[in-house]
Amino acid sequence: MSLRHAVPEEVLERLARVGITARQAVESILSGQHRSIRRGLSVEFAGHRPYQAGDDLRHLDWMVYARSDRLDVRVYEEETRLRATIIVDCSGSMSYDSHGRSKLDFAKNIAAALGLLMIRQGDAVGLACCDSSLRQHIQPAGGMSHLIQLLSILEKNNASGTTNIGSILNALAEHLTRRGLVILISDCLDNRQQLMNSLHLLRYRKQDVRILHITDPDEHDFPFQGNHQFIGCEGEGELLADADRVRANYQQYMSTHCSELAHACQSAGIQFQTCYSDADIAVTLLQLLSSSQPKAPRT
Amino acid sequence: MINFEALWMAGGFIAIGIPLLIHFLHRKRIRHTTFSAMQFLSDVLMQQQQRMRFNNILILVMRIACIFFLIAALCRPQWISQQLASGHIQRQGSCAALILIDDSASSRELMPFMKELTLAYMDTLKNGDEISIYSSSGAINTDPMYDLDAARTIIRTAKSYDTTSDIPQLLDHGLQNIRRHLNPEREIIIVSDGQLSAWHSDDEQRWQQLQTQCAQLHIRLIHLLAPRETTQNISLSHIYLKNHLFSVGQKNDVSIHIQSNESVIAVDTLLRVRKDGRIIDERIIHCNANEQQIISIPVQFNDAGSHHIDAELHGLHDAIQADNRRGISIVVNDHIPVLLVDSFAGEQSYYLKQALLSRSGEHSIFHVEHSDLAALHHKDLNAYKVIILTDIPALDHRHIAHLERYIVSGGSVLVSLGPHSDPDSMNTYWVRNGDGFLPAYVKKIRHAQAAWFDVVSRSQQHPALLSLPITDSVPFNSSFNSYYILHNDTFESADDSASVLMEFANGDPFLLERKRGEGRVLLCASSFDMQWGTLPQNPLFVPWIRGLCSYMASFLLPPRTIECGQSIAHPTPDVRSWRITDELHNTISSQLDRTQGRHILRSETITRAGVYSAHTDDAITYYVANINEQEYDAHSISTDLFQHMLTSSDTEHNNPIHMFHSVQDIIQAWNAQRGQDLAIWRYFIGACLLCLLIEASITHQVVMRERRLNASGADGEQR
Repeated sequence: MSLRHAVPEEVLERLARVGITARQAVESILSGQHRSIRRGLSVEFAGHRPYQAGDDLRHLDWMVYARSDRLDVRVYEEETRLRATIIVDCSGSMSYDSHGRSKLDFAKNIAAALGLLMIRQGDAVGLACCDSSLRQHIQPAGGMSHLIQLLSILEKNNASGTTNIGSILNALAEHLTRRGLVILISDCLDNRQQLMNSLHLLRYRKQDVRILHITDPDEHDFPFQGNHQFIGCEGEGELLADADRVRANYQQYMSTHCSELAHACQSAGIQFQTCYSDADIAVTLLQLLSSSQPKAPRT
Repeated sequence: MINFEALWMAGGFIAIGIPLLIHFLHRKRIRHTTFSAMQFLSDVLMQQQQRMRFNNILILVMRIACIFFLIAALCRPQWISQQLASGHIQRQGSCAALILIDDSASSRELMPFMKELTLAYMDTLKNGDEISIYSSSGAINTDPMYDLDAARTIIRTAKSYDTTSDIPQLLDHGLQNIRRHLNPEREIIIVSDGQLSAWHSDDEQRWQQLQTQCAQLHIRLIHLLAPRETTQNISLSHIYLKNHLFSVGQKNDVSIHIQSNESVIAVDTLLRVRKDGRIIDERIIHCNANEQQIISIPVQFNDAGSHHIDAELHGLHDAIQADNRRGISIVVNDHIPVLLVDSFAGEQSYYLKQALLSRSGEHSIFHVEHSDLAALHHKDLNAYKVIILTDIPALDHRHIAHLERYIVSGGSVLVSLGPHSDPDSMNTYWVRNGDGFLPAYVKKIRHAQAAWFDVVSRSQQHPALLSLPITDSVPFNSSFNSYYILHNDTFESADDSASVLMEFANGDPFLLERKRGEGRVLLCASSFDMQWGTLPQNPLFVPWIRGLCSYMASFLLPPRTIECGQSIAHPTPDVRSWRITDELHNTISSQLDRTQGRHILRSETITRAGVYSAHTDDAITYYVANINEQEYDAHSISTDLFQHMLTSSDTEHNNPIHMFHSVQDIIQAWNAQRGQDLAIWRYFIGACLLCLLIEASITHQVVMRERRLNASGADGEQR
């Protein structure tokens, strides 16, 4: 998958000034653009402390001395490099395609665009492709060669198998020792409680979690009419139903599932965003990366 | 027992397959669709599937049931509650009943009971049986129908008329029409008063034909006989004029015959005679058993034109009331045109003319005109009531054709032979082997050798001879020395054979009469002058000639005294607005037609006795309708005679014959009680509607639920 193929040029142009910011301080050993939990020399003033022998005299705040005859040193927040992990749900349900683009294709495009953005701003990005098990996991790293590797992995993975995101997140949580960003791109057609438990675990691990919930328009509108023999994408079997008669209840169930997921995520400080697989990628990314999302509580 | 009136509708049950077909076809149109969010679908279906399945099945069942009940209702099932098997008359299947009602004059008093018997018979019928009704007067004539209630209404409104009953003809009509019925069990029901004369039991040939027809058709014959409480009957049997011709101011006698049958026990009755509606005579008549009385009432008319006389017996409680009244229509003439034709300038007809014209001290009613043969061409013969040909040697073909037309259309001709008569010519052209107008062949002349031939009168009661004294073999006091021998042959083509009114003492006919068409011809074997006899010197000559001419001039065409069952035919001189009315001034339906160059106003069949009038603004003509003499008979037919007439000698083919006199007999025969048949089809219609209601209700509930859910789902989910 080439960069140009993965992310259309126009999208890149529109996202040129968009950066990904970690909503919480991340731990990194490298100086990057993101807030670090450590305070020190940095371009961003964080406050004063009394001068101690050995401090750099360049950081003495002479204005404070002039006013108060007190020797105070300026303290700065140190920005570190972001470590993000993009989890792409590659289960069978992601293969559903009603408008010429499947949910998985949309997810891949989003993942590729995110990876490019992060690499370009010097962050480290990793990738995890999963279905009922973790297929492939690439640790976060930087550089174009790493990006190409990620894109290659995305290209190779197709939708198959069943969904079990909860267990995947639990497994990933064990590997995420440092603070970072976790972006889950999935249709979330999984056990809600199990999923939430896993997400809470990630939050406990001080991860900044964002969920991009992808829905196919047909999954929302249920435009089918008459009798249909519905065949599951993940081998659930077949169901005969009069679409006209089940539509209302189905939509109600679907709506309840999404709203409860959203509410639960909000309570946990997780950004939950729903988008449609036929939506514009740039707009979706803008919404995802927008700073208007509710901030996570400081830790 | 359930009976289906329209079982052929059961073919509609095939329509039950329509909802099933739609159901299965609908099921086949299933599309296979891959879907991702199966967990939500399965949750929904788990809840809805059972209810949906139940609703679908219920809707399908209701639709099938709706169609089933509708088709079943269209088959018109009836629950038959009658018990038909315990009477001695048993029907094996649906019945076709043809009711023949004798509504003649004699049944007037018994009509209510006849209707009661008929209704009791109809109670033995059940729904699905066919029935048709016909009456002897023709007033009721229905097609086969299944509506028994409508048939009962027809019976209840039936009434009697003054027509004549003819049971063989009634039965023949029934046998012709029973073939129009479809049901297998055929019955012919004769409802009558049992009047013996109506059955014409002496007409064996006719009854044999009827027996054969009955046997071929395998029908059950039923006679519902309304018995009379009494057979005592007094009838006004005849009313006629002694003299046929009425002239203005002339006194005439009306003879009224009153007949009592053998059952009459001395009874008094009031005879009332009316002239033009005004009572002219009333008298008490005492009647004994088996007696005929002739009452003579003098009448006189001062105005020329149409008049009527009717007589009525009052206060009688006899078997038949319809025969207690009778009438006659009279024409009072102020002149009778007579044409005398001879060939010798009036010499042969001189005495005739004098006899007709002169009447001492009185104005003669006869207007006599003389003509010779040459002038006969130019005469309008229809302007004369009587034409007398005296001693005519020959007539050319135009004269003959002219005369024959005149006679056939109602004219009267008196022909006298004489010395100048040419027998050969007469036989060839006037007789023509019966096709001509002369009633008999003229043979040779018989000349007297010594004593002359005396004439005696034979038919004293003949209206032409009423002027002569009524005694047996009274000499006519006229002798003839010569006369032509007439051969009174029966011609094959003749309407009627000639009758001898007077004859010579040796038996040779003197005066013959023969009807031709509407008219008549009288032929005298000798002359009316002194050439061959002393006839003009006979004191009876004048009344005799006047009587003959009166007789010949008295025939009214068309007749004005008719029988019920005939129609009034009134010749109108023009096409002015004539109408015919009854005694109550109700207009009788009539139509105008043209016959033999004349306009005739012809009425519908007259079914009520009484006086009718054809009138316009300034003219009126009276017609009188009387009942037929046959209706005077108060004797009833016996069961044995009834059986005999309807039983064929070939016993293998005889149909069951039954006769009932009372309602109880009928009920006992069929053991029929007026059953409460249940019209099940109504309940089926109700069930059909109920199923339709349930189906609509379920469908409505499902639709409303889906709409609510769709609305709530649309509200809840906004993209």
